[in-house]
Amino acid sequence: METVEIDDLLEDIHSGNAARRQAAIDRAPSVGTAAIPALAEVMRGSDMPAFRTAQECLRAIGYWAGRSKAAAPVASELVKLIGKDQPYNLRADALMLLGFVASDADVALIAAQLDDAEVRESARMALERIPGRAAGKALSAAAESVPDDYRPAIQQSLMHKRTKTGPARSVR
Amino acid sequence: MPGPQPKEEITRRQLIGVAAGLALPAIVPEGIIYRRGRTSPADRIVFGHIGCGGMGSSHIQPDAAALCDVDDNHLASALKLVEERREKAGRKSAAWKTPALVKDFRRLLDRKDIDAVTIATPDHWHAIMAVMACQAGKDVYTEKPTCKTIEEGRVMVNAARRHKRIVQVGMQGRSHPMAVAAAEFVRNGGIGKVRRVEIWHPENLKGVFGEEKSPPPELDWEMWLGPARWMPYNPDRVHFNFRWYMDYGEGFIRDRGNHALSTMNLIIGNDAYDGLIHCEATGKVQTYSWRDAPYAMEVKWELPARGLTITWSQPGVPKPLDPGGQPGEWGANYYGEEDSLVVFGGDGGCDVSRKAKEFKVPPGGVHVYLHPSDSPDPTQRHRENWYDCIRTRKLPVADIDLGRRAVTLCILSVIAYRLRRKVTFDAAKERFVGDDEANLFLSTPYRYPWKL
Repeated sequence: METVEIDDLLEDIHSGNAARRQAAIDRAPSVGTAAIPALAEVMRGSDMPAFRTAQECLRAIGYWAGRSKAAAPVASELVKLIGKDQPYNLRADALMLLGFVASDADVALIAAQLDDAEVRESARMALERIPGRAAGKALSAAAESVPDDYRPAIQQSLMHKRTKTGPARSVR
Repeated sequence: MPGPQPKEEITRRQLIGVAAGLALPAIVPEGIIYRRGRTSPADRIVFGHIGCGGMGSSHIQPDAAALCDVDDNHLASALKLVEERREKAGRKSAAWKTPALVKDFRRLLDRKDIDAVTIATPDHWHAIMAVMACQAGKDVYTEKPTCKTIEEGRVMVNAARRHKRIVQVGMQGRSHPMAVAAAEFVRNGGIGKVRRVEIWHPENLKGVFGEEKSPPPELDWEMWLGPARWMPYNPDRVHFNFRWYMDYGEGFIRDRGNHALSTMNLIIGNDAYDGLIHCEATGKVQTYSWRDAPYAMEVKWELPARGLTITWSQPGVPKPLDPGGQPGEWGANYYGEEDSLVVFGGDGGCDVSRKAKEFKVPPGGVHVYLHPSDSPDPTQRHRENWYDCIRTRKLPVADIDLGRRAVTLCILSVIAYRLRRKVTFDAAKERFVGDDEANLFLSTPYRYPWKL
């Protein structure tokens, strides 16, 4: 069933029809985590409209997943897309979405990207947004290990985590 | 050297000012702005302008001390504009030095001779620049939309208050006689209690995939991006078209939406709303360009504490002002318990149904302030209100807190669109209710070294 749903999604993504592409984007969250590897594959390709559609599908899944039980599995798939072997646009989008769905379990892999000049800002900003202690600890550790010229950036994130309105304190 | 106003000019303006119960700004004919009642060069209000393209060019004073833009072409055009405006003012003065041209706004803010700044950059810069300008002791006119996040709005207001700065947001619908006419009509019961406001607006402008390449030598791409995440340069992202990208403008919903919702707040007297706001939003995106802001949004806000529903539709169903008339490009239908009203526009362009134009406020009724001005241009009237408030230190008609409140509705819609579900926001506490995921959107990290 899942395979059929993913195939249908890909067919709409590659259809060349704006309405079908929009339908794919709207349907993507219902297909969910299982679609992520296929979407990433489209985003490695050169078909730009298909890339954009897959990008919007990925974002739809990522933003939707935050409140659902899918957050952890979505995050697990997204961290596979942030490594050096992935194209920049895919890494940047995956890191942006991880800021919204990652948990303590994902922090180490995200923090590892602070060593990569191409995406370290995206990784830093994701860690700044991720609630929980692990992200703060990772930034604190990074403040000791990153090159001197990048340390102020890490400190900026730590400061914002301490002073911002914060994601975890909901009004009841 | 600038001198005193001609005597007859002063007398006429003073009479108008007394009649209105207000002191008019001392704007001498050559367009130089002075502190109230004074016309010596030392009392001149000195302006710097950050962002000199598009709307920014309209704010440029003939005696501007400094011009800032990340694009050398904009700076060159702005300098030419200064020269043209000086010619038109008919006065040339040795005191009118050539304005300094800078690409880094911090150099402009460093200048002790500058009293006030206009900010007309892409939206993702508004908050940081306005806050830093307040910290530098400058009064501020910042273009709409006010800001991108809830946190930015709060920090902007706090900065203005803490540093006692006059901050006007470019929501010039509040300086439009037709918007004020609509407000007086509605707030004096013209349509009864307002239950529903339906806003219609054209879709975002569509584009094609531009080419990613090295930025042109005249553009400081790093500074253009500023706090936004790094992206390769693409000519489709910059200048006017930043509006269609989520990283900068987020589409017409925040661009014109700020105008529409600010004017709505004025018309129905909603500026002080501090209750819950429910919001749902859907949108369609372009997949044949990099423009990722939804080009057609459908949004519904519910304000239960005042029994009000507001909708935004792109393109929606355009309506005429009066039966038999032509529909407007964008506007809003106001539905009250007794009648309805159509308002076109809500920025520098605004028009309203005949019944509101013909309405006279009854004795004891609600008057809505319209800053007095000789100018037929509401944007100029709006600027003059700012100049006057720089002198009087009173809050301007589109004070930063009113800007924050109006744009909050826009920000909520983008969050609801991204989450694909209803969100509930507590306007008093400035947080979402029981919704940790939505609260992740209250603020955004910035690219180093930019911070609020």
